[in-house]
Amino acid sequence: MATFLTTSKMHPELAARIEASVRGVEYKPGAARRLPPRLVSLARAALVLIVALGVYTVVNGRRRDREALERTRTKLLDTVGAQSAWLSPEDKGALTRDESWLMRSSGEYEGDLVSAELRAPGALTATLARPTVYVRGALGSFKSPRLIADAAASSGKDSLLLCLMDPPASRVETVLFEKVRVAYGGGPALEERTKNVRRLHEAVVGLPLLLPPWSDRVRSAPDGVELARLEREVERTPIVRAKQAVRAELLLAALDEPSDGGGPTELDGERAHAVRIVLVDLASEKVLMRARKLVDPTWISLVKKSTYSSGLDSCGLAFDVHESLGKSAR
Amino acid sequence: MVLQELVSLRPTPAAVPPAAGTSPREPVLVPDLLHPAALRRIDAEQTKLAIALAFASGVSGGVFSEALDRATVAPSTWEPASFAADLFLQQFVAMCLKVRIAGQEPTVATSHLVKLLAHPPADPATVLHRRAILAELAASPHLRKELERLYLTLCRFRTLLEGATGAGKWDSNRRQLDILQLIKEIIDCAADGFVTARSGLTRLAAFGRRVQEGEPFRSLADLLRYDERLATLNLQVSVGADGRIRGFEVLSIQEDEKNPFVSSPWRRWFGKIELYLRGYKFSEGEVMARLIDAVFEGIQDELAPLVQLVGDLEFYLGALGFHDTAREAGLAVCLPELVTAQEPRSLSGLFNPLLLAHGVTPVPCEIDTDRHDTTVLVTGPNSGGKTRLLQSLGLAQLLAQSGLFVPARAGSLALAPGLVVSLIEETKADQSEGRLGTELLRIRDLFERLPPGAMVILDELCSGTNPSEGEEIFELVVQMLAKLGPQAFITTHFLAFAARLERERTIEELRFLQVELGPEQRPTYQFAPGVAHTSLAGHAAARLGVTRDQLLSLIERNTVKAAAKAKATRGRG
Repeated sequence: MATFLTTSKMHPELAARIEASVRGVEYKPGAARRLPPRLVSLARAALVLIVALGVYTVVNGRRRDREALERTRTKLLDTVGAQSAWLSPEDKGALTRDESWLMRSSGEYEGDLVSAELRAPGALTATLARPTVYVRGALGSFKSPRLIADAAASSGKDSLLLCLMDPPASRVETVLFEKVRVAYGGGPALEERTKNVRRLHEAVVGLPLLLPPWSDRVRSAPDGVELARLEREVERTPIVRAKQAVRAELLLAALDEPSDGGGPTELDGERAHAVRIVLVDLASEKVLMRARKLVDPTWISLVKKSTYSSGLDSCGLAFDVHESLGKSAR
Repeated sequence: MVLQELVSLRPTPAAVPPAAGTSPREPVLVPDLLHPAALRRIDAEQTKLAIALAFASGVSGGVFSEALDRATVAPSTWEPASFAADLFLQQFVAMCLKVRIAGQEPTVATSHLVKLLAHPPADPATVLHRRAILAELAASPHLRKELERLYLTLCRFRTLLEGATGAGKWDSNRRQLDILQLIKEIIDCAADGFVTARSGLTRLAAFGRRVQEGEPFRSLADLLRYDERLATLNLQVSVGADGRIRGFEVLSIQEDEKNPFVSSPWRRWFGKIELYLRGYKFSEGEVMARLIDAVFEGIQDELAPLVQLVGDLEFYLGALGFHDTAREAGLAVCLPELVTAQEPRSLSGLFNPLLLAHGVTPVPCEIDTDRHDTTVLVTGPNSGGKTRLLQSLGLAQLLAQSGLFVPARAGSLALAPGLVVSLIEETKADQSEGRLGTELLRIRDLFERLPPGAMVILDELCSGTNPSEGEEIFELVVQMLAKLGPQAFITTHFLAFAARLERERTIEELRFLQVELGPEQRPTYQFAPGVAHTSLAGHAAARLGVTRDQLLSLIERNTVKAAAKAKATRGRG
């Protein structure tokens, strides 16, 4: 077999020797023993193929990873972008606004107030049918945005909210208990009756996802791990409800003042204390109602006291608020 | 003056047969300079393998010396054991046959030279062949210079091949190309340097020309040219006022297109790819390695003979070195006239080369006998030069038999079929016999080894026993020797006995030489016919401090010293 090392100008004997040297057909004294050239050639070709395949696999894998990453990124941005597109600048500042009202309300009590809009019979119930954000917590937990976030996390839809929206017919324990049972049962029944109300917590956890800094984090996520973490965050967050929370027209807050230390504390933690109820019209930035009522579980029957004191007290508190609004209307 | 004598040597043209292999019709495969019919004396296959190994690895030292040590010699009737030790042959070769070129003394394969000298060729034509070469070298400074150049190039080749300078640590291709370059120089030198030669040196030219005409050599030359000059660039360099280079322009590029190794760049690149796929490295060096390999493969058959050539050159250059050393000491050497054993022996200005090698300027002497096949009894005082004479005669015979210069200004010698020398007989720890027994064994050994017509050199025969009995054995030996017709030289201190033999002439072939004494009975280291009257033992005793007064003085000194020592010992006690 000819070789590229020979030329047509070479003497045939020289060319033959060069070919023999290239083929390695003769044992060359002093030269290191080689494997058969054909075997070496096959091994090298296989090696080259394996390396090429490996390189292709790695490069292709990386390319596909990058594409998947970009798809995830785009999907995330699209998901969040679709929700945030409908937010006005005011909506984006809703949480700050809510916090501001709450911190103000947790300060020195400014006295009871009922706006003219609520003095008409059934006006509170009708008003609370508007999009509302609700939170309840200890008075001291509304002193800062961080404390508010913690309080909002542990605040859900409860007897107070349900009974404010759908006031009981009387303050009789059995009547109140019907509402309390629904509130304690939670689920669709409670959600159905309070569907226009969103928890403040939903705004706390959801709004950041709808703001530009979070989109920037998505865009700058360096790898799939970070992006997957952000994706899980989106999946866990009720963005639609968050959007509803930030677009609420009313802020309803219940601030439990500390107990004065007198009276027993029930097994569910309920004890005699004052509760501030604040209802703010967020659009007009006006307090519609500010009330301070005492609750005391001592009136509750022994059968319900251990389990339902808090709920019954809350529902009773809602009844009292309606009653006081009715009196003021009269 | 010596050269003039050499040129006027007697050998007739007919006596110098034309060197075999120098005919244009007969290719010279081996540049053998030692024999008229070229002999391959080294193991060609083994040497070829060793050279290939050394070429590939550069770590195979001793390629040349081992090949030469194992080299065979031409048939010889001489037994080295009979003379080599007593003539200090090893010492003679090491000290007297030095190769000296331009003040340098390359290392010579001494053992090879010893072997050559210890086996003088049986064929007189070989002797004449060598003498003719040596005479021509001595007469032609040009040829000698060329021979020295050839030898030095071979030495460089050997050094590089055997990696003696650590050159193997360089780029392997570079080293191998350097070796190939030296091979080319060697062949060119052999082919071109000896075209004017008329002796056996013509074989070098014939060998060189034959190799030059072959494809392997042409390929080698092409490869070296390819390595040195793939292409020629015409450059134009512009230099600014400050002397700095400002412009650099390639005007033209000319590839050596006639060179068979030159190929297009793409072909060279594909060559590298091909080699890589075949299991070699991907490099320009690997391409060159394959080309070098192919070229060496072609030329390597011509390399083993070069190893033999190194030994041959050392043979002649050593002889020329001996010639130069003698001349520097005011002495002369010659190629003696070769005569028959019945013709007179004449050695003019004979000197002992071992004395010269030891830094002593020897006193040349004249030795003349009416014929060679005689027994010469040499008598004279102790330290009169008898033993040195025997050494000189033995070495002269040996060198003449080998076709080399003898340590004499002029002379005539007859070739002998053998040489037995017994100059020294050291007492050995394990010898079973006393001095007489040892002497008798020596005589027995002599006759066991001595062929008819051989040269015999005996020092102090029968000196190990009492004179009366020793003389009887001596006479017996001389009588028996005469039956072999030897060329014998025997020294003895049995002066009365020798005188009686001279007087009575009972043995026909007996001749007598005596050490000449000067006016004050001092030896002159010259030799004249006759028997000495005294051994001058008294002179020797006086010179060595063995007179009555000197011995008494020593006894008295030792007595005083012993007494003083005893007194000091008592004092310490």
